[in-house]
Amino acid sequence: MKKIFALFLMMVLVLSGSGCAGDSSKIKGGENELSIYMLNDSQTVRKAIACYAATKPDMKINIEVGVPDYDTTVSDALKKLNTRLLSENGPDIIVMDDIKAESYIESGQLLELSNIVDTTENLASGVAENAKYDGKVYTLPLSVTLIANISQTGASIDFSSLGKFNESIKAGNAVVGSFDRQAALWYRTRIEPKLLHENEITEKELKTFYQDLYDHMGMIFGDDEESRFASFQQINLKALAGLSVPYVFFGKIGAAKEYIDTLSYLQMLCSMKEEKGLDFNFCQWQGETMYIPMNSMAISAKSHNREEAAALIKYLISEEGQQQITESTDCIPVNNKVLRSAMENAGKSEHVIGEAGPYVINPFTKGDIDQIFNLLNENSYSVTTDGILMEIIMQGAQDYLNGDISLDAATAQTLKKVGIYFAE
Amino acid sequence: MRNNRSGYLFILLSLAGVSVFLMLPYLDILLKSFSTGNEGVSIGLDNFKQILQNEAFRIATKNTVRFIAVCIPLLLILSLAISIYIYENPKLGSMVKTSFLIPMAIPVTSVVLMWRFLFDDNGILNGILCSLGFNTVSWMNGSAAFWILVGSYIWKNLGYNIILWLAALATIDPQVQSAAKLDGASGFQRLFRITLPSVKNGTFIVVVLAILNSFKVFREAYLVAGDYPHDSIYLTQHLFNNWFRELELNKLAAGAVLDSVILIILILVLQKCWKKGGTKL
Repeated sequence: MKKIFALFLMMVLVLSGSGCAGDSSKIKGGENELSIYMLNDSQTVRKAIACYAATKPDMKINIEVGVPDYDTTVSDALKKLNTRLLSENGPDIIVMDDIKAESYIESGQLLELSNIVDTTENLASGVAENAKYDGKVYTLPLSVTLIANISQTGASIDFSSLGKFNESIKAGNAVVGSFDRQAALWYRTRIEPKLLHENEITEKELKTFYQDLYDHMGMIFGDDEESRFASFQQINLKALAGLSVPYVFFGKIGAAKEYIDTLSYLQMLCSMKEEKGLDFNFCQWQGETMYIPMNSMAISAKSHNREEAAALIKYLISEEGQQQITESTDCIPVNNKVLRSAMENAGKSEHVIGEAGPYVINPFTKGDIDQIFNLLNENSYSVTTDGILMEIIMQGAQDYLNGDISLDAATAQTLKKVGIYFAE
Repeated sequence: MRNNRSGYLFILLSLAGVSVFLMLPYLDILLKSFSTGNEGVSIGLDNFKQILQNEAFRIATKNTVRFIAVCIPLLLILSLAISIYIYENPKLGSMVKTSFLIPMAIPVTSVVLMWRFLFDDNGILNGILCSLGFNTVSWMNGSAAFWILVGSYIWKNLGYNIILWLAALATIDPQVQSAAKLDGASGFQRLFRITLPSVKNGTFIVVVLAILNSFKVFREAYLVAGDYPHDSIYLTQHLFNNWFRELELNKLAAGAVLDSVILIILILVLQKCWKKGGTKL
């Protein structure tokens, strides 16, 4: 009986073992099916995929969003994604925005895309260079978002730190707006680059950042108490442009940092500067101009349809694909030819800007075009956000700013959490 | 022989399930703990060395050990005291038992919701403190978080442990207690001379189950405070969870193997201690 029993157990183990090691390619996915995963919903990605789908009517493309609402955390979404990737049931393409690509590259979850880069003409060289990890490309952005420091003409605004910015706003008796976006922008441009390069932040630096955010919150326009409330959920920290450019131009706010995520918004910014209605420059980190690579595409190493996934990415960064995406989404493309052509062909246009009424945007000047062209083709700094780290830092800020805990407690706790995060 | 056969048949399905869903994955984890990368290149004990030098692992292990060291004795003493009270006052027994068993039936999500109502910075407790003119307390962001977790664990597991102790107490012959009473033994003397020696048999299983249940408190800690709670309640499960998020699978495997080895050694040591005490397990 013992022998039969042992034999039965052995059989169960062998059968389940061989089941685990089965051919994963047979699990799912036909040749004409692709699944695309993105952490946060992006209309640009949806429209870009629609452009590709129009060229491939037989292809079924499924888009999934990891964080569809306020109740889902980045961490939960990533763990779900990892479970699927490890069970070889993951998406074919992952949009790596706000996902730390290093973990996925080092654990072999992403396919190398270097050959796509090598065979694509007119890809902005600076963008391609910044996409490299250990000399190889695993993620490729479809567009970029620029970060501008905007101020009223003649106003002496210091953007070198949030503290100095606050002081200069106070000195000019001006106000600021859109607190959550501004807080995220200051974090992305001043705190995160330091954190990611040095793997630490000092108590003094963090305390200063939190205190400066507190002061900044007191300068937002309007006396509405509710507007002086920090709400740093992931959804509020997305790199999406607001209305800071017209607000500065029409004198509603004194100065702001702003995401410039479309060509028409960029054109408005340049036009308003041309009219001497505002001043701006692009954010810099250690002498290099910053930009955020957007809609960065990567192929899962476990993709059941690698060739189609590669074909999709190749199309989206090709001249034709970039042209289509730029026309349908108005994003700032990464293809030099498309970028130059879109900027050169952007004519005069009239926009109605809220209460201010109609405003005529002038075409780009040659200087504007060269500036953007150089930015994407020379040494520039690519801002890659680690969503988890951002959540830790901004959670501490939120607790302090909303009066839940003291500045010292918020700083001490956040430092411990950051320490644990880096130690992990 | 016939008895043996039916015994084997009874455990066959369960054992097959355990083998497939626990032993096989454990073997896989064991192999991963000695290898690196996707290709599974063997690197000996490097993963273990790496995690033993890892500051986060040290903090998490220290907190987990501290949590178990505080919770288990508290839970054992409290549950034993209540079960003796129930045993000696059977009329009140069912009501008391039910009241302690209710927390077991409450789903984790409801417990978490209750935690949030109570311990949020703008929650009920701070509302009471505020109305009494005291400063509010950041319950989940301060050292209080550890004691809230301890309280939650004891509140949730007390009923289960009471049932286990009552089962052990039921084995005491009532005539022995009556005889002791007639001989003039005090309540204290009966407790130390009759009750405690009689329940010694069940203590091993109660302790082991209490330790295993203590790992489940992570659910509440995670749902209330997320991946990075106050550093006093950052447990090994937080670390493993975060390693999984970062796809640090080899570290995760080594950590899991190390934890399981420690747990097995602890259980074996406890078993040996009880055996030495002359108790049949």
